[in-house]
Amino acid sequence: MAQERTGVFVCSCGPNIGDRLDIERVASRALEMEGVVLAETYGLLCSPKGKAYLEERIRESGLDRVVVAACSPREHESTFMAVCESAGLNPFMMEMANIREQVAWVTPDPDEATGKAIRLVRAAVRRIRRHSPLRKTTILCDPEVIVIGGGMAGMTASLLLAEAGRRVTLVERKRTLGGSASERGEPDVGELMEKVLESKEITVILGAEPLSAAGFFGNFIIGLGDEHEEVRAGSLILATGCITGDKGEALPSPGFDELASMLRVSTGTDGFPSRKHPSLAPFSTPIDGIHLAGCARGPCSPRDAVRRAEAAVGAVLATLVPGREVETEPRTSVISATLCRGCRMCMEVCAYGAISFSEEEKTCSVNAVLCKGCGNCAAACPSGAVRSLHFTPDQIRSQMAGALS
Amino acid sequence: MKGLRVPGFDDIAKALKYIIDLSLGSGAVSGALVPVRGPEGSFPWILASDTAPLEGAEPLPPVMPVQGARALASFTQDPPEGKVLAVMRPCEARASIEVAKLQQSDLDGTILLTMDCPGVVPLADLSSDDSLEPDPGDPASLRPLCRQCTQFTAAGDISVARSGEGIYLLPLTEKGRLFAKELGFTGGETELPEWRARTDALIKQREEAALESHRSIRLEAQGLEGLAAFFSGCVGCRSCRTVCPVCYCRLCFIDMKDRRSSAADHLARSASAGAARLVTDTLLFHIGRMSHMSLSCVSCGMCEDACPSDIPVGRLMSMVSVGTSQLFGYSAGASPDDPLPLTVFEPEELHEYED
Amino acid sequence: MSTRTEGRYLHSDLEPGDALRSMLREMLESGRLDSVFLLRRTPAEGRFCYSLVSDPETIDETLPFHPVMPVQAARALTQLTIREPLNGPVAALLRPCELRAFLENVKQSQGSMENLFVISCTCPGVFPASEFIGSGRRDPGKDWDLRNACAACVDFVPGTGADMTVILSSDDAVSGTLVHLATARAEELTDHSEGFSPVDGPDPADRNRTTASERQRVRRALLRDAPPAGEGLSSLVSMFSKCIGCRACRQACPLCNCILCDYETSRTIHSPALVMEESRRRGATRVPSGTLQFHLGRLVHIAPLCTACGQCGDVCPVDIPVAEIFIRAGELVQDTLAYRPGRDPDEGPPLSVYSDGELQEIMD
Repeated sequence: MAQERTGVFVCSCGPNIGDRLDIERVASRALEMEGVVLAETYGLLCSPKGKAYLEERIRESGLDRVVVAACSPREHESTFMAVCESAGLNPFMMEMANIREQVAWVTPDPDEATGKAIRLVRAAVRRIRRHSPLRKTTILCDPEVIVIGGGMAGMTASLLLAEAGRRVTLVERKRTLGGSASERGEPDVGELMEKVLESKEITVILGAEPLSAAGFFGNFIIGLGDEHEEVRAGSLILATGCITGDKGEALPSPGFDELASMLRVSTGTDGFPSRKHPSLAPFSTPIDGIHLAGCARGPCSPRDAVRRAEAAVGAVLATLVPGREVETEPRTSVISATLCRGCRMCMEVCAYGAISFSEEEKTCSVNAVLCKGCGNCAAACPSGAVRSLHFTPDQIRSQMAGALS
Repeated sequence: MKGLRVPGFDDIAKALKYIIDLSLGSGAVSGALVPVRGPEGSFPWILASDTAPLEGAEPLPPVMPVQGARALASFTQDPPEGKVLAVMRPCEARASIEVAKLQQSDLDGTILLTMDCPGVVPLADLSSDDSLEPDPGDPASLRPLCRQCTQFTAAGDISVARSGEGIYLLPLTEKGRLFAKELGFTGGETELPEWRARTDALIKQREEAALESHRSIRLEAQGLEGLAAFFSGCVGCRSCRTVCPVCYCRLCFIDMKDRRSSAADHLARSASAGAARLVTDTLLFHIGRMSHMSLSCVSCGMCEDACPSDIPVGRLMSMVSVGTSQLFGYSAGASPDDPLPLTVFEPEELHEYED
Repeated sequence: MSTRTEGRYLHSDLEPGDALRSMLREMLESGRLDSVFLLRRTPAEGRFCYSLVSDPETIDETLPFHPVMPVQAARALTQLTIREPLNGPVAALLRPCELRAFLENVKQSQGSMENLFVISCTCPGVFPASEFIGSGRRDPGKDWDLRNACAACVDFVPGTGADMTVILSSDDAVSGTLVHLATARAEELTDHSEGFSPVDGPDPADRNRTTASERQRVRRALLRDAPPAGEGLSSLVSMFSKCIGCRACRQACPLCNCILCDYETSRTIHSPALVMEESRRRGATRVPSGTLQFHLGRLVHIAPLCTACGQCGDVCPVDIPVAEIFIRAGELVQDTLAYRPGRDPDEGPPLSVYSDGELQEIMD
């Protein structure tokens, strides 16, 4: 490892850390660690002044690696990564040691706390020596949207998107729009249908349903069978509705499980699709770019169906901005073609449909755009053919060695 | 060869234990590699940093479960901090030297200490009777390759020999000489007539045994048919490769994915010959291994010991190795300074094998 | 109260070896099969190998279901079909454990059943290879013992995947040869088999009730007494102390087919620095390190899929009871995951299938 210049910054976090352990000692011990050329303390690194200070120190001292001993990465990892970027340093050459939630806030004895903090800093210092400057990539997205299901929710979503200037393809398996609301004779349905059919932005395809699906956020391709051309879009809204089962329970519409499986959207035991996050993203699926409207998510009133449609549209408009390039997550998994034997265990455990299998090569490969870096595949692979970038065995092992020595 | 007396000992194993204790205890080395007696009749290698674990040390166990060079190479890819005393048999020391030449380990800071080796009992024999001991005078008690071994003493940096009633240290390299001095073995080196006479006599016996073995193996494995019959019982377990100290590829050529045949190829092979064996590539594996490793083979016989099918693969490898080494005037593990033949190009060489 | 099921059989007066050779020879001659996969003698005494036989005359040299398993057939079939499926009809004589292991491999894309006609048997077991080689390790006067795994095998009646089953093990002696036809394909292929006449009779499982209980008894004893029957880690350390790291167990295992074993990669091999540190910390450390790591790791990967064939134990040069350990671990893991390897070709490998709320009992 040539010319390492690691800088360690120990944040007092106001009184939060500084009052509970000896940060000066942590810094002075850090200075003795391999590769460390600079170790300082600071009052509040996440403050505007703190960030400016950090940026300046990185530049001045020509640091090529930074360890920030402070709060949880959930709080400020992105903050400090952005500071590194401003300072001209690859943001993945920064590692945090959580000495607040994991030490200061849970260790009453200051000496013990200081000792623990030193260990965590050593773990981070050892780990960062194995970091690679990962590079982000970007993709240009297709701004169009496909809505599957022409009921209340599907039509509402289509109209809202059209209003926002987006081109929409609305696919409905029956020969008429309206869905279950129309069957029940709900008011307003007729009006919606008229508006949808009149809209120049919306292409309605009746009597068709998705028979094949490929692609990913920004670039979906849906096949509708031989009679229709395949449709492309950057995002999908599933507005497939629901039905009532024999025992009066709510079930997703017939054929939804096939659609979900085609799109790799996971479903719960009730058959309804999983949500990206129960509170923060209830109308998106874990698959980027696939959202849910209306009863496709579970039974609801017509009013709620409209609200859910609005929420899904909101999610689409916020993420699928025309001309915008979507930054991809570089902390993905990589599969060695030499070592892969094509058993496809990784595919079985991937929740994001990010892995594909080549029949000719008999190996699997990861779509870096779809990969969320969860690491399930790396864990499932028996032969170690899958590597999780930024969580390589080397990195984890050095971290452990640092913490335990 | 002259030796430094190790006073107070008449038994090589006991003298070895003493020297190991002394080396580690005095701080002349910070680690010692030596077999110990383990549970269930096992003799695992340990790297000791303390003298306490050396109580169970067994520098000359009756068997060789793991080739010492493999044990040493497992932690010397980078030279260890401080010095390490590696106590092993001559073939293990020679293999260690080959492994270093093959860039798989660094012998800087390692002192190779060998001894007069009586040979070992085959692993399978000890499994059924744990009281067996190797007797250099009784070939039937020994691993087949031990029966024909002529390099059973004086290898590495320093060797321990018995001559008459005394035990002696034979420094063989400058490193060995310095180490002996550091341990306090000053004083003059003496001639070892008894050791010399006994050793020479045994070497002669073994040379004859080797010639006979080579002759009979060559006959048995004559031509492709003979070789195929020789390896009839091979089940492709690859133990011979895995236990071999000088075989080092992470992914062996035989396991590479892109060499796999298709079903159509297998069926075609079957159709043209009437029948085709599966698992296939038996001969390719063994010939390939020979062509890759023959020049570094030290004839230790670990491969044959590990073979579950009782194939005399060690005797075959040894016979081939002697032949190929002679072509290049090379002797595996003799000196760290002899370059590997395939790394040295002489424009005027082997013309006798051209047309 | 079990209902006895009746099945369609073909009966021949000849003993199984001759009967099968005659049937297979005919199938090759008539072109109904391109090739047959089965055991054959090799030029060397006491050595056998699996062979793909295409020449009808060569069938004379074959030994259908000879009681030896030089190589686990699933390993050979994997090598045969891993790149692409067979392009012509081939019959394979497989013992139930070999069939089950191959089906597991097929699930992981390591082989294909296409164009493969499976002839299995109710299996009486095999003898360890060492019995045949006569290395002098065993007393020649003693009765040969079956592989421990075979004596304790309760899965000896083939299930899905077998087109035909030869009755080699049964409670009541069979005169001549009985071959059970399980599929339409089997009936088709044996349509003109000379020397065979159709009969009906109890299903292969029904013919082996007593045998099955006896095997069950031996199995219970094995699971109860077999190593490691001691206390956890220290007993495992003891047991694997003799291990020479030859990896024959891994090579022999049909399910172990990673291109490069995880335990040979830099991710698991301990660095020199780590080894030195361990030596300093504990006073001494075993080298090469990672003996137990390999075996425990292999257990984790293989136990859910182990078909208890016992090949691993057969090849161990230092007689470590590897097969017993894997059979035991396999039983525990497979019970917990409610998975029976190779029994249902459509059932996904256990660790790839997750059901919400599963395994709560082991979480508390």
